[in-house]
Amino acid sequence: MPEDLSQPPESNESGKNWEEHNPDIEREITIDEFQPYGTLTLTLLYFLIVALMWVFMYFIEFGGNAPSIIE
Amino acid sequence: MTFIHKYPKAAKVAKANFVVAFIALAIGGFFGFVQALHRTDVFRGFFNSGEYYTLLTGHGVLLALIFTTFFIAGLFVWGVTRSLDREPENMSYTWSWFWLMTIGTVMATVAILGGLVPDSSIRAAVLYTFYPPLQAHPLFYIGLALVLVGSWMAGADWFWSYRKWRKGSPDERVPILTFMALFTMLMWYVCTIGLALEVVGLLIPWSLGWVTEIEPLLPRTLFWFFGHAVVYFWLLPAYYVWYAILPKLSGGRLFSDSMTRIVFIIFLLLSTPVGYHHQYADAGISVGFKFYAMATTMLLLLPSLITLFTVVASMEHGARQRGGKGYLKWIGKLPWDKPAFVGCALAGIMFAAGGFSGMINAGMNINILIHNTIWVPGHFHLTVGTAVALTFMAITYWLLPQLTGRKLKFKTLALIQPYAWFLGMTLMSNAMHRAGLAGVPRRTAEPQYSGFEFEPIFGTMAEMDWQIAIGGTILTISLILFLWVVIASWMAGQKSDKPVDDHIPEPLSGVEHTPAILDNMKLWFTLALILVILAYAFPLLEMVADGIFEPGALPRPS
Ligand code: HEM
Ligand SMILES: [Cu+2]
Repeated sequence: MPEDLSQPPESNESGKNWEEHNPDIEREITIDEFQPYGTLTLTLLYFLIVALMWVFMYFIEFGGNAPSIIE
Repeated sequence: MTFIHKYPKAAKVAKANFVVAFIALAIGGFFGFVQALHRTDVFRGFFNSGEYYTLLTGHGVLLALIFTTFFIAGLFVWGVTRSLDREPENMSYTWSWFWLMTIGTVMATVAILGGLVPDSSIRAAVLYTFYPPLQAHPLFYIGLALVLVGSWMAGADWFWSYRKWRKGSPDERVPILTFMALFTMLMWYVCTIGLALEVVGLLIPWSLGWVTEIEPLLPRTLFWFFGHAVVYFWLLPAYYVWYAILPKLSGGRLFSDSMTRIVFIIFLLLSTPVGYHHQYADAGISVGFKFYAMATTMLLLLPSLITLFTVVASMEHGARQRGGKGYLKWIGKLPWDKPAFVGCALAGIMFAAGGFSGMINAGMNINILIHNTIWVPGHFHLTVGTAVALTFMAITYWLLPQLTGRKLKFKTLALIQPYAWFLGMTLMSNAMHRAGLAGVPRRTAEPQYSGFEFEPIFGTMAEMDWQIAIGGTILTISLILFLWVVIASWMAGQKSDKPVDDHIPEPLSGVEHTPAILDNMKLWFTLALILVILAYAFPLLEMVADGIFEPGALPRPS
């Protein structure tokens, strides 16, 4: 199996060592080291906003005690 | 060595597709600008209100159908060629689908623009949904049919490459760039069945005068059979970019190969059976079918949430490799000064916001609240108008150097462009949503009535109108910046062997952890067909039994 499936075989850089060649990258993080806490935080934030929007929707639909489009 | 040096033939096809896509983007975008000023009564001097539908048709068709389709074709040519490491099998065949699609596009565009010529009999003011009772010149429908057939042939081209590749590599897993392209096309084959039946079976004979009346509900239903899935035909290629390229642009790797494949499979299975959720307000379809569509629509949230997780986690991985720390501080380490990254990331944020209004649209009861108001364009300018269009523009900054062998010019303008789009869309779309809640209709040249006031829940009508007009203007400026950067780089960018870093690293959790069954295309395609038959066979049979060409057929309330 080639190192890197998205890269044509004649490519001279090897997929695994991409991080080593890249000046932007300070340190390589493997799958075992990677803990996506940030993703968890953002996802929870998103769910919180969704929940608030649902509550808010109550006021849009029922708040006026009248249909809100047809007067 | 970059793409154009390795695969000169494929590069040429991809570029040709991009040319058509960007011309459509330029014309369609200009119409959007006119609409934003016209319907807010800021400036009505470009065209008269009677021509509004013609403009709106040009805007919807050229942007939502033509720009997207051609860009996607170019993107997939790039991805399939690169990941299978082979040029298209037969260049005459490849060029024949490109030219078929292009001729079809020219025909449809001529039909639409004919509406701006006084006393012309060629017109097509039928909006991008183009179902009866609005009728267009036959040129329009025939043109669209050619685009459709061309897109089928394009898909076949990629399957052809895949088959050939498979012969040489019987034991290898489908490379992920090819996997995503092929699954998108499988979904396209399923959903365009409805469109082909509608256009060829009903609309073309009707526009030619061979039949004078058609049952109204049938073409609507066939359209929406296609009409929801088409949004995933736009969106999946944006996901393609977010999964395959964005992690690398963030300085990391795709989080998981198998999650990516699962998401594309779920979309193949669920995209088409949900079409009735666009017909909640249609009489003649029983509540049971609508309810089934609502439930399936809610299931579709799942792959979008998986995408949220996978894409954000990949970006976080990139940021942490670039020295990012903390729960949220890592976000600052992302390359917010690289146009391609910024465009994709802002597009993703807008898409998350579009999720809110999408959930409202999907609910059978609260849908009525916003039905046919300008809330709806507010929603889809976040999704197709930004998540898709901005991603396509941004990734052009990365693809174009590979396709032309030239470096990007005017990097600062290229960087301003996505931020400007984001700002313009924030203004335009929030105002559209709120105006929709106040009952302002969509698709209306002069939505203000005399002796009638819309009552906004917050803000004022005047303020919303200004936000739409200013937002639309900023969007137009952003579009001009994009075209300027692309044309300048294409014509005069500095030539280089490696004009951009085009390497894509392997996923963190690679294909070796991906169950083989995920690659079984026959299985998933068959399942998708079965689900569609379950959802559609019975109601469609009912409508056909009413008499396809029977004007008097009664809608049947549930
Ligand atoms: C310069 C940027 C844009 C501006 C100023 C703009 C403006 C508008 C406005 C004001 C409307 C509502 C018209 C009405 O309902 O009366 C509209 C509709 C629409 N826009 Fe845009 N838009 C832009 C970009 C886009 C993009 C990039 C796409 C898709 C890729 C898009 C797709 C659509 C579609 C499908 C409609 C609905 C057409 C219909 O109702 O038949 N727009 N646009
Ligand atoms: Cu839909």
